[in-house]
Amino acid sequence: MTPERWRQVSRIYHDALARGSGERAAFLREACQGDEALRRDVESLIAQPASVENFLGQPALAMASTLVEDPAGPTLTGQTLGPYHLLELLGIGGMGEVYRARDTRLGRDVAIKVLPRLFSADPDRLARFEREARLLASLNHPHIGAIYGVEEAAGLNALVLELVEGPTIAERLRGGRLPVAEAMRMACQIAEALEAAHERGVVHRDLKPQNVKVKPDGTVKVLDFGLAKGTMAAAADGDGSPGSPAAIDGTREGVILGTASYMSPEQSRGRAVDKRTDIWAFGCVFYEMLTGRAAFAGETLSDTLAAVLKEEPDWPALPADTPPGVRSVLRRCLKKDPVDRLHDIADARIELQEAIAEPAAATPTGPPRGAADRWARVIPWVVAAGSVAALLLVVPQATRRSGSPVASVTRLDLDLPAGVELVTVYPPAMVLSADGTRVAFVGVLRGLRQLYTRRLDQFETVPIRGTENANAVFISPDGRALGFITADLALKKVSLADSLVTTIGHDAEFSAGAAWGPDDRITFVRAGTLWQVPASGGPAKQLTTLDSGKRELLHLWPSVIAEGRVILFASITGTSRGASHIEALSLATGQRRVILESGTFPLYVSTGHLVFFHDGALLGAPFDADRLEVTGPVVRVLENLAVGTTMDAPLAALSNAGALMYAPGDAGTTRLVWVSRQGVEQAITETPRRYQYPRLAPDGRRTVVATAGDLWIQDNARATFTRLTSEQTVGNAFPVWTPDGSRVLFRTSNGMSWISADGSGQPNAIAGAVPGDIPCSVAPDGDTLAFMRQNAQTSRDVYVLSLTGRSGPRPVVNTSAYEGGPQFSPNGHWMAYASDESGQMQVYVRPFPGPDRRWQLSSQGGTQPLWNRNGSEIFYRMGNKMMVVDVSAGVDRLLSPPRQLFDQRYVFQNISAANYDVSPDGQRFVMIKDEAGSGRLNVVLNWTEELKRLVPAR
Amino acid sequence: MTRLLLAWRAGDETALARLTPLVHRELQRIARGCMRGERARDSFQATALVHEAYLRLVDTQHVNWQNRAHFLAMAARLMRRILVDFARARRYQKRGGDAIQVSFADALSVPDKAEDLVALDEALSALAGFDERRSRVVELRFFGGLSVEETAAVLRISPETVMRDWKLARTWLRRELRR
Repeated sequence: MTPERWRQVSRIYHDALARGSGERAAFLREACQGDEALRRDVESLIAQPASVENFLGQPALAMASTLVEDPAGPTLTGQTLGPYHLLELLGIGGMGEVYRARDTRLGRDVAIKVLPRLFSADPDRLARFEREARLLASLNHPHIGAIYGVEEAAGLNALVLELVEGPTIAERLRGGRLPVAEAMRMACQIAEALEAAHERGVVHRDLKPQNVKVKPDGTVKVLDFGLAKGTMAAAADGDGSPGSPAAIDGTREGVILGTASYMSPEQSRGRAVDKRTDIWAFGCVFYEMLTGRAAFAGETLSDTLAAVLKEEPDWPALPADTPPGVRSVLRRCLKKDPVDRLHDIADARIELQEAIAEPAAATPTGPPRGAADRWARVIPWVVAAGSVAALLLVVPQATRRSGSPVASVTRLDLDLPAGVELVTVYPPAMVLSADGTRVAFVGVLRGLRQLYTRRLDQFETVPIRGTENANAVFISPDGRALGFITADLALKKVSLADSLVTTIGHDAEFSAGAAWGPDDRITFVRAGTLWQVPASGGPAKQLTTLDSGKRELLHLWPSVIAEGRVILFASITGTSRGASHIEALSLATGQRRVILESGTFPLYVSTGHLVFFHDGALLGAPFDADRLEVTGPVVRVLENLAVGTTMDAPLAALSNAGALMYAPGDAGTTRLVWVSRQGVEQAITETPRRYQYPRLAPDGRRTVVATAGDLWIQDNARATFTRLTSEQTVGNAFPVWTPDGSRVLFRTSNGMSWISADGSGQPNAIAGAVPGDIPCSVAPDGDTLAFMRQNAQTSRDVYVLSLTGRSGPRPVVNTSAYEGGPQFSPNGHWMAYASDESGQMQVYVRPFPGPDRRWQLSSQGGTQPLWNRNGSEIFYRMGNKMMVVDVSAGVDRLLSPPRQLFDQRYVFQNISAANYDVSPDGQRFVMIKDEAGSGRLNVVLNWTEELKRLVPAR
Repeated sequence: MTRLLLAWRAGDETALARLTPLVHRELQRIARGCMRGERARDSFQATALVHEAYLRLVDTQHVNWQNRAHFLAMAARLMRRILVDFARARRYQKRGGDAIQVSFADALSVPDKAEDLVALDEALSALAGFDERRSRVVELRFFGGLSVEETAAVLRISPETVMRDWKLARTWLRRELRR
């Protein structure tokens, strides 16, 4: 907009307004003389609503108080905190506001860091913090910004710090690199500071040029030591032994945005931090002082991260007069693998002191370039234990860091926060943003299932508020929002900037996948077919119908390509594994076309490939997105992926930027164990598999268990393990015994069936059952089955039906709350179940068949109830706790509150159907113990490079 | 302080330079007071505060109207800087430094979030790029709290022109901020 143009706009605007609204359009056309842009410009100004009258109607000062959202804390300038008078706000950091303050007792100026309110309110955090501060205060080193003390007043907590005048190294470097001698002197002081701290077990964790100040006399002070939270806890709790690795606190408070450029490789992987992390950062800072450039930088976050993980710094950029000893120190500080890295900062300090003491006699040229340099650029490959994918061991040579984009494969493993399991039940369980900077997944912690996310340049994986009960997740194309589907089939979205959750639609199948297209429409599955709804809300439109002629059962896994014009999906035509093919739907014509005869979970990659899942592996083929054809041979590209436990689809996600994320094959594997009432464990099975829903036969001699979509029976005495459902079907789960032990009922993809317990004969469908029903308990009469059914309006409900067909399914409890996990008492007169009608899952019991009354048994939450076979106790679970309620005097007259039996972590997963069983004598439980594998996700950046190599696209 | 103002009136530019930080501090104090909610949010009160600052700083008998207007203009600019700096700091603290999208709620007549204020400031600077006068009208009226007459006096234009400028500037700003 130029002044002349603007003069035109404003003149025409005022003239137009001077005319009546009827004449304006004509006037505009005439006045603008064909300049369409001008006309639209003026028109849009005129079109502003009348409420613009109120816009900026009040002076800014009038709303100044609303700038501050924290009621406790507009700036505190001018206030007094103990003996300190706060003079001026110096800045705001991740940990709180920093003020210059005057110590009125000692008459000197200090820096006061006021902690955020949230921090102060938690006594545990505060106590730990005070311990940390005390440890820091003992550091007392000339090159460490001192902590004078901790102050508490007026409900606020603050750190009193040494006020250091002078610029930071970052500010000094704005003018370019520092002379070698000066850089060495400053680096030596930093090294001394680190040395003193490491000796006391203190790790800085966030060393960077912004954290180091240079006083006017040249003295260097390292600030914010150890204040990056979490690290110190272990050092303070333990014996403070130097160099002991500390665990990262997995809580959400105080998420620190680490500048990716100074983050060590192990930090970006979410690994524990120790003094070698500081040594890495020291290397980065020293390098930057010498060259004036960051050691690792990229245009995008992904590039920076990839540079840290993969690239060597531009060593030739070091000044010619850098002593060889110093060069060697730098190289060793910046080794990617902490095992190879310089172990003690003291070594760096000694080397620097010697170099400083010697007269300037450095060799004029840098080290010779040759094989040694090329070798130095090859990454030491860190292979995670237990993972495979042999093809990923190939390491293409790194491109020299000269501004060219990083294009080679880099792997990164993410550790999940403590206690969080990856939900392995339903893919899609995890997503990657299109630019590869963010991952999100469905995790479960202590029974609560919600979304977790992590930016690859941040330290921590955090849960997202408001996403409780999410079962499936997908991501928006711009990476700013996540879509998710909750257990009650609601389709929702959450924006990552402000955690605002909006419900978009209902009746979305969470086990079937969803996709958010670039046209901002979300494709999902409802009642087995594809539907679409605008992400901003609105009516949903059905896209496909099931062709019964082709025996289509389900459409699944929509994937959007061609800017939203085409949708790829899987069509299931039978219940056997592998009876699935991949089709493309053109939205414009409504026509469908088969692309691949067998395969599921299609993913299109912009490199021109179609990646899909079949027979336990990821396969790829070159794909023409315009002609919708596979144009080359299909190649296996990734084996040994974890697969969803009840759906035949991999736990994997691909981003358009070419990054692949997957759970390694051993994720979700478990063992069955006996656990006594006191919590003593004894193994039952040796082979890890994905066990679910173990059920002891009434005589206790056999156990039926679901694993990977099939049912197996274990003979407890002879420890044999035989398949029960012989047909290769998917989705068989939730086994239930009949009271006489002759039959096993179970959930199928069509509804419910039963099979003879000796494995003879074929499964028989149970009449009246529909897909989604889950059987839970058979009454002593051998005829009445209690099961759970999903309803659009009433969420999950408890139903019964007659197995002999005497009566059809009828509801027992069907309020709008979630009710499930029904269990008949041994005498059949009562039914225990779980419900969240109170807002929290609790265990209730009611008489059966009536009257319609209920009693609450659990007090602080609980689910997955089971009766003791003598009918005198009801067991249930509350997170990791196994609880028992004594109902021997009658359920309406509880003698005592629920008691805890043991508090140990076992797999929880499905929310109300018991994922465990109790022995006939009521003394032991069959629990599922998970293997370690579920705590890790593998992320491969630029995996598409590997894909291109394996699957040449023509 | 008074001596400095008098010297300024007499044409001493350096006096103005020395005066500015003093005014700045005074206005900061006022702004922080407002942020702590110490004063009522009534608009009259707000502008009165700026005048109060003026009065506190100078002996009114010795300063004529023109310099007063000039003072107010300077105060408006300082106030803008103070509030926007604060808003930037708040925004950073809340967002962790990530870029965010700005949105003005439809019903809103006044920006009530830190992000909105920063966006307004940026749009206002953009406006100044091709229409200095109207940008100053907004600065004086919104950040300085000046009345139409006072604004007219500062900018040496008629009050009617101030009204029209004010309307056009606000319309344009609102359109830009809702994009």
